[in-house]
Amino acid sequence: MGEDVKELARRYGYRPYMVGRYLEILGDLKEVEELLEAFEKALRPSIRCNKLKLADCRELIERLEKLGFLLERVGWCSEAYEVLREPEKPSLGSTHEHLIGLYYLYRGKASLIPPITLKPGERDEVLDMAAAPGGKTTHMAQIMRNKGLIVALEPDEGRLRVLRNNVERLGVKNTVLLRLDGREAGKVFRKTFTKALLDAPCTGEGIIMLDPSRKTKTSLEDLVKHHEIQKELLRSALDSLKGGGRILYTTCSIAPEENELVLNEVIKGRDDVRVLSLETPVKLSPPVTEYYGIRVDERIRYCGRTYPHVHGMEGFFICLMELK
Amino acid sequence: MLNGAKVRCRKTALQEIAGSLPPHISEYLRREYAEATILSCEGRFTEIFVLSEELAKVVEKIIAQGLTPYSAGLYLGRLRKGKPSFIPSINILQEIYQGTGEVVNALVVAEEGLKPFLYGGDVLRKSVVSCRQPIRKGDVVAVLGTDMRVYGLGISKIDGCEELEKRKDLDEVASNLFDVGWYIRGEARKERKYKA
Repeated sequence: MGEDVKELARRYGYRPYMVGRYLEILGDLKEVEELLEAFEKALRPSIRCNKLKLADCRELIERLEKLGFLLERVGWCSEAYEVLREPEKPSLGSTHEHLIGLYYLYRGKASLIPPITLKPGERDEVLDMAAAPGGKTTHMAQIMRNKGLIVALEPDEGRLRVLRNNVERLGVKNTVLLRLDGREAGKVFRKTFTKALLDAPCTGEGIIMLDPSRKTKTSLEDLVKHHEIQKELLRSALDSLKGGGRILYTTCSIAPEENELVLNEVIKGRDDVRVLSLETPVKLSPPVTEYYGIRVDERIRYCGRTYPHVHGMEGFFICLMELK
Repeated sequence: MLNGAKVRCRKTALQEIAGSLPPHISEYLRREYAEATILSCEGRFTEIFVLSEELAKVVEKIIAQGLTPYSAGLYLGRLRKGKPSFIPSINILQEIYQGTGEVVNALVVAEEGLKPFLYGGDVLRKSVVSCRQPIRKGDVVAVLGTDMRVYGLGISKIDGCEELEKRKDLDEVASNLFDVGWYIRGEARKERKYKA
């Protein structure tokens, strides 16, 4: 590892191995510094107007503006608004409008991209593999206009309750909540779903601006553990799909070990999985195609990434696959 | 535990539970959800859900594998052995009020009264701006804001709206049974409790 990498890691307070990997991903030290600098900047929160409870989002915006919030519509998502200014009180999480489910609150905008990209329809039967706290579940229900079916899984009891609160608060009624580890989904729901969303549990290496403890929290062993679980989850998701079914794999991490390398190992040798070109509302950065000498499967070139220093939002990985 | 250790879910018929529901809710269900499946999950308490055909099929599959859904479809409310025998969900009440345009069995509360209510407080006479019959002492009433959205539930302390006239400003007219402030009071990780 070069001295310049160690110096950057020291200056920004990271484990050196992490910064070394960022250089491997981006290939340019100046860009690595831009990334680390972007992780130092707070993100503006965003809200999604809940069309399941509101015929017209203007009602919500007027109510929030009366309280002193200043909002700006997100250009690529007609129901989402970035919060430019907040009053001292109330906080975004404690307004009456939030409590009665007129909006869902996001810490950054990137979480809006996966449901829009998966595009679940009113006749779809969707599996949400690791659903809590429910931002993407409730967003999909909104896109599906409360029709069709979503089965939302969450293994942790406390997080499942939070998920139920959000589902109820937002008036979702096309969803079944089940306490189940997503790794079991392939057995319990074999060839059942037309679509699946796997927002895989990850190290959160794309949301360091929201939780700076992640600069040092993740050891290489933790990374390997996540990688193994992510592979199991993805295999399980594929088993739960009907032929022709689609799965969107996403993480809030920029680590290739949790993204391209997971896909590489799962789809390698499987000719029944197609990786589809992404039609995302935001132009994404290309995926990592070579990492420490490993050339990943050709198909992975269709996946995409968001970076804080490029997109002004959390670092996410997104990939859409179809089972033949 | 989620609703106690041993929860059993089974399909039931609307007729089986209709007797426990307030008339405006059972009538609405008969009209709007005649074809829907009713799911009853019995554990420490009994929760009732309304399922579409798609949801009913997948729930059947889940139950057949020895698993229990935690919630499904439209949450209708909780059936109880004691009084009140049924606690409706906020969503079903909001749906009925919006769908029928008729607000019954409810207290409409001014903003000043809504704030303490959302912190677990009770409804005082002075904050009630409108009362919608039927209201009976000991029954569950919906607590609405002036925007006609449901913010929670109370247990009525008055027998009919006309009784409001006899009450003083600081008299409690409904005790807090559940309010949407619960979602952010740090209690979301506990199983939902009603103050009944």
